[in-house]
Formats: sequence, C-alpha cells, structure tokens
Amino acid sequence: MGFLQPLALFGLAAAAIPALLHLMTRRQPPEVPFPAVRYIQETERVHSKRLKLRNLLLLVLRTLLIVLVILAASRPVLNLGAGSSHPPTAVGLVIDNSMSSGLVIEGRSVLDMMREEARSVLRGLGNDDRLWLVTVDGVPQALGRVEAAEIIDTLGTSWARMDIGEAVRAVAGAIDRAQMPNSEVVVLSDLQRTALTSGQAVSARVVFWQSPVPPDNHGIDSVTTEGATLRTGGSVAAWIGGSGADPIAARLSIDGRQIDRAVVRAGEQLVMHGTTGRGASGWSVAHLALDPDELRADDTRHVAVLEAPPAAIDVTASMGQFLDLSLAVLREAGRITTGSEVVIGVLAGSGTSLVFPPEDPVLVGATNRSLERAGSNLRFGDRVDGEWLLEGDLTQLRDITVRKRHRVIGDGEVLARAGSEPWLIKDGNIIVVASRAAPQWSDLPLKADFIPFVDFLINSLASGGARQVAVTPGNTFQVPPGAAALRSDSVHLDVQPDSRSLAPLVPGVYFMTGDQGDTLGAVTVTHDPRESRLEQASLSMLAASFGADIVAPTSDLGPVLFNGGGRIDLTTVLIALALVTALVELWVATGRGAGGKERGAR
Amino acid sequence: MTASQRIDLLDPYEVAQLGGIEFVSRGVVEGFLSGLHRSPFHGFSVEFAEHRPYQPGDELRYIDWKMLARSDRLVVKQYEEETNLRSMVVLDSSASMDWSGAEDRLTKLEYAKRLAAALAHILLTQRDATGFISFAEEINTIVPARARRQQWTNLVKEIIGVSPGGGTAAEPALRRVTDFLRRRGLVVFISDFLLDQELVLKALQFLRHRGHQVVAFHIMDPGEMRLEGPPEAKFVDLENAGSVVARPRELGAAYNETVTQAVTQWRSACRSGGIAYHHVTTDTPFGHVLRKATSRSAGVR
Repeated sequence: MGFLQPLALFGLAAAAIPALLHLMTRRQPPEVPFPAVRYIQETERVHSKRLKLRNLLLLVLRTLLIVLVILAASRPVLNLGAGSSHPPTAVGLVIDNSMSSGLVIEGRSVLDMMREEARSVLRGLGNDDRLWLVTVDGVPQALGRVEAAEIIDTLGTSWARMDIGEAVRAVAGAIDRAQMPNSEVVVLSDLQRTALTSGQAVSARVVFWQSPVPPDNHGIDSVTTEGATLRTGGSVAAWIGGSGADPIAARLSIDGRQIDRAVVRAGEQLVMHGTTGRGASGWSVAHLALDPDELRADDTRHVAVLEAPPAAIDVTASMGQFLDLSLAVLREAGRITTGSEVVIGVLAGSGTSLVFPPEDPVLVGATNRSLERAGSNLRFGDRVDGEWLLEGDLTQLRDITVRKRHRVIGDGEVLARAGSEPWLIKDGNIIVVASRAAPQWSDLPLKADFIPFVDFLINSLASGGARQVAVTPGNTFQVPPGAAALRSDSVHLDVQPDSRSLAPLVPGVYFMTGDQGDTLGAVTVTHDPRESRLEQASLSMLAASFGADIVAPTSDLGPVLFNGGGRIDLTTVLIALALVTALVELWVATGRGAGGKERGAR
Repeated sequence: MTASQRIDLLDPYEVAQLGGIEFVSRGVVEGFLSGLHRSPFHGFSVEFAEHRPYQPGDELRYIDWKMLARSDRLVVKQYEEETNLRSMVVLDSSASMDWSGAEDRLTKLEYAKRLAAALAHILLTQRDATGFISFAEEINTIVPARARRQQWTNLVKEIIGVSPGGGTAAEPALRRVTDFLRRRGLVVFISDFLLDQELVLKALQFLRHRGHQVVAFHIMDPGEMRLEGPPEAKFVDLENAGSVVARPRELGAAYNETVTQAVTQWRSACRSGGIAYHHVTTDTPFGHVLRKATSRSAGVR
C-alpha cells in the first residue's frame, strides 16, 4: 500500500471539522417563550434516543466522507507484488547523475531520490525481464539486477553533463535489438530543458520520473582573464547564469588569497580587479566563488592567470593612423611599453613579430624575405579584392568584413579565416595578419573591438604565447604543439602534443608543460553551464523529443511502470465509497433514515 | 349582509379590530344566528306556547303533523323556552393562554374571551341563565348564572376584566361549577388544555355524572401546532419557567406527531366520557366555531 500524493494526507486533519463544528455551535441558544413546552418535552422523551443515534450517525458519516475524499486525493495504490503481473519486458533504465543531480531539495539530493526510485524499479523487475542501465556516460550496459543494484548504490554525482535525448535513444535502440514483446524506457532525471536534444522518436514506451520543482539557482557560466593573461592590475570577467532575481555575493581569490568581492545577479557580467600580489611573473590559479545555494557544483570556478609585465614593442614602420592610435592608447593604459620584445611592422624581426602586409605590393617580396630570415614558412601571396566575413574563435573578429587581403602561403596555426583562406596565422613566434589595419582593407579598425584585438595580438599571442583551453569534464581538447603533460597539485597526465586528448573528469586548472617542464599554458576543466539551468522540460518538449508514446512525468513511478501492471489504484474505489457515504448522509439528514418515522408522521 | 361580510365568518383578528368584546360578540352572534335561521340551543325543559303558520326555513320537526292531518294546514309549534337551562362558561386565564404565534393573531386568551362572550350572548338570548368563571392557579372571577337582562352586561364586564397570569388549576374551578348548577345544566369549558389531563378529565366526568352537558373548547394557536424558530432555541414555559433546548428542524416532525396525538387523546377521552370536544385554533372564524359547537352531532343540545 502506498500513496502517490502523500502530502494530501495532511488533509486528514480536516476530518475533525464536523466534530469541531458541532462543538463550536454548542453556544447558549436564544430563549423563546413557548406555552406548549410540555409537548416538546414529551417529543424529546419519545424521540431522544432516535435523534441522538441519528446525530451520531450523521457525525460519523460526515467524518467518514471527509476521510474518504482526502484518502482519494492522496491516490492510494495497492502493490500486488514485485514483478508478478506484467509480461516479460526489456527495460532501459536511464539515471541522470549529471552535475545537476547534486541539487538538494528538501534536505535530499536529487541523486538520492533517483537512487531510491531506481531500486524500486529493480524490485519491480520479474525474472523474465531484461535490463539496460545508462548513466551519465550515455552508454547502455546490459546488466542483471544484482549488478545494476551495485552500480546504483555506488553511483555518485558526475561533473559531466548528460544528454537525455541521446541517452534515451541509445538505450531504446539497445532494447529494440533485444526483440522482447514489451519494452519500456524508464528515465530518472531532473529533466532539465537543456538536457533534451531532439532526434528520432523512440518506439519503446518512455516513462519519466521527475524530481520536485527545483529552486532558483545561481551558477558561474564562464570566467575569463583579461585576454589570456592577468597582467598587473588586470581583471577577471565572469558571467553569472541561472535563475532568480536575488543578488548573490561573489569572491575572487588567487592562490587562496581573496583579492576582490562583489554582488551580482543571474544574467549579469561580473568584472573583478586585482593582482596576484606576488610581484613576479608566473602562473597562478584564480578561484571565483558564489555564496552556496542548493546546487553547490556550479558555485565555484577556477581559471589560470598568468602574471606578466606589459609587452615591450618595437614599431618598425607606421601601420596607419588606426594602429598607431591603438598603440598609443595601450601605451597610455600601461598595457604596452617600448622595447624589443615584440616587433610590429611589415618586416619580421629576429624575435617575436607581428607582421602586416605592406601598402605597396612591390614591397611584398622584402616582407617575405624577412619572414624567411626569421625562420617562418609563412609568405604573403597575391593581393585579392572581394568581400569576406572573418570566421574563427576570436570574439573580437566577429562580424568583421574584409575587402582587401593578401593570400598567405605556408603552414601555421590558423586563428581566423576570411572565407576559406587563412587571415590570421601563427607560426612559432611569427604572427601574420593578411590585411592592413586600414578601413579600405577591412571593417576592423572602425570597430570598438579593434583596440582589444590589438591588445590580444601583442599581449597574448605575440608576447606570452601562453594558451588557455577551457573544456568540460570528459570532453576532448586540442593539445598544443610542444605540450607533453597535464599537471595539477595532485594529477600528472601525459599527453600527445598536437593531438586531441580527453580532459580530466574533475574540474580545476591543469597546466600544460613541455618536455623541459616549462609551462606552456593551462587547461581549465569547468562544468557545463547548461547544467546550471534547472528549468524542467514540459510534457510537450518531451513528446517532441521522444515521440507520442511517453507517459507524463511523475514523482512516483509505481502506477505507471510496466504499463501500470503490478499495482491497483484505489482512488476510484474510494471515490465510489465517498459517493455512497454522501448519499447515505443525505438520506439520513433529510429524515428518510433514522428519523423516517418522524417524516412519515406528518 | 353577504357571507363574506358576516362578522362571524371574518378572521378573528380582523373582527377584534372592529370594537370591544361586547360589540364583537353581539355582531358575531347576530351574524351567526342570521345564518342559522333557528335557535341553536334548546333547553331541556321547554313548554308549548302556540301555533303559527309554517314559513320556509322552519325545521320540519316542529310542524304539527296532527294539526296538518286534522285541518290540512301547515303550522309549526312554538315553545316558550324556559330559564331553567342553567349554563356556566369556565375560562382558563392562565399565563399559557397569553400567547400568540404571530402579531396578526389574537392571543389564545383574547380569542377565548370573545368566544366565551359570544356563547354567553347566545345562551342569554335564549333566556338561559348563564354564569361565568375564570381561573388560573385559582378561581379569579365568578359570575353566578342568571337570566336577567343586565346579566349580559355583567358578564361582558367580567370577561373584559379577565387578565392572564399564573399556572393552571382547572379541577377546583370545574368542581366549583356544581355550586352554581344545582340542576342539570350546560358547562362550557374553554382552555388551552395545557393542564393535568387526568384531573381535568375526572372533573369534567364528574360534571357529566351530575347530569350536566359539557362542551370543551381546546384553544390552540397555529404556532403551537408546529415547532418553528431558530436552528437551536431554548423554549421557556410561560407558567412554570421550565425550559427545554431543542432544534426545531430536527424535532419538528416528531413534535407535530406529539401534538396530533395529544389532540387525539383529548378528543377520544372526552368523547368516551360524553363530553363534546372541539379543537379550535385562534385563526378560525368565530362563526365556524359556533356552528361546529352547536351542530347536532356536537351534542350540545
């Protein structure tokens, strides 16, 4: 025996209402002068027993009526025994132990609730049933009940994201191949909207257990340092995601020392300032933390910061007024100084160089010869006119139209393309830009992002060369050339340079080191911000994702598992009993019952 | 005067608004008699006076058949009613009689007083000696039976002066009647019968055994016939301050049954004792009551 809506049982307190009403109405009645009191007394003497019995019967009936209605509202079900009353079924059990399953609701984590439901599903399996289990990795495993129970018992919250759409389709495919007469996919999840991906409808019956409605949640969606390097007096920018209008406190600390704090709301960008305070160049780990809420996993985020002095530049030739002005601004802001660390011009220097094409095509040959002398295989080709949109990961180059450019020949790391051809290429310490910094060549000099772009070119690409890669747990990332290992305080992982590698499963900052132990950059493993979005999917979204043969999400799977077999819903019986009770109450109250003789005497 | 204008057939409360008891009872009786076309009460000892020609409306039983056989004329015998029919009207003026269930109804006592006056007027019109006793816990008023002209005035004066109050002790009053009716006579007992049934029946039967004709009027307000009021009320007795808490909605049907049974009991007990019993509600026109009381089956004559 169980209840699908046990909270409704609190309504049983209402059963006291008839008795309370009876007591409350026992006040001093008004006095009415009446000559024939002896007739009333005689009537009471004759009928008092019958009246008392009738009143008691009415009290009992009314109380019973309320009890029955409340019990019906709590939807009692009678368990007929595990696995005893459904045909052999192929069951796909999907347990969404993604990061959001660590959410705590009413003192219990969603994962704990899912674990309990999963055990209940296992108990309901019959000997002829088969089970496939899918957790956050999305891979269905055919298991026996005992093995599945062991996995479920030890299942923990993962930092990774689970794609429910893919997981359901994967397990549905597995149970389809089993070709059993019945198939059912049981999804235990918080059913985040962001976890649903659309795809082919599944043929199996899909049943969803849904966690209680989640509370508002704040989470850190992203953290970036100024460029990739936090220079002296630099800043850290973070986007706060989630829901809810309440402000929340955020604290930024570097190497365990708090350097700034602020208050922020979901959907806002947070910019915090500070220095490492070390006074020397080098890598540090910055840690941004929000006040804890019900989902703790997304309340903290790490980012690697590189403290370095401003880049010292040597401008060998004027690149036009726009670039000259940008450099002046950066110099004034302390972002660059004069020196020979980075050479900027139409000719490559012996060290780090930022090379633009010359205005006069005749000089391209000289530029290419300087590139050759610097040891780069990059060369400027023909100048072409046209109209191309820049493509690449750099946000500063978004929606930039290029009208003139030189073709760039040679291999290097392509950071941006104009159409299908390289536009911004890095080869060792040489960076080549295919267009000059002038409006006739591209929109870029006219855009607000021009100065940040120049800053990025000088301070991140040219001078530091340090890399930051952000990746979610378990996903792959591109290992840069020269990197041989990932290391943190407790982890040391060997990686293949210039290849794709699997990111660690635990969030944190992992430094990429070369063969000589020098630090080349950092891999920041962070949670997927979509896991911070706790809004639950609607039934229509589920139907759109999995097809029409789905059962509406419920907090208790009992009545819907195995197509409803194995349990009897007592609600209808109770409603019928309540109706009968109401009719009897009406019969007695109107005098046809216990007071029937009185009515007949009239 | 049409039937609808006859004072004896009007609503008692409306009739009471027309004037005092004397006027009203005279009007009621006149109306009643004009509708009856004959004398309602006939004494036990009447003597033949003379013949007179038959007129339509005369009762056939007064036709002198012998005279018809002899002279082929229709004549009726006329009797000289004697004064040796002595009657006493006994009126209950206890506190319970001073109650009306509605503002537009007479109290039971006011109704009974008018009924008593009307009956007395009828009897006196027939030259019957008529007396009056009112009682509550004890006898309050006694007017010995007389047939004199001023008796009507005396009676009306005393009836008007009757005021309600006190409990009900009918038995002494009824026994006292025998002091005034030494020969066989007529006793009219008007009460709400909220009294000791056993004692009163004994007293009434005692009167019957003494050879008196007894007519009992059981006066009830329509409001007493059914139990109405707030959902729950404390009903307080008017005479002894006794009370009972009851819910009219719950008890109403059973109460009706009790009242019906009580009336039935009174009726059967009276009839078995040779007592004419009339259950009268205070919304019944006086004419109806008088007609009912003087009908042949009522056993008054």
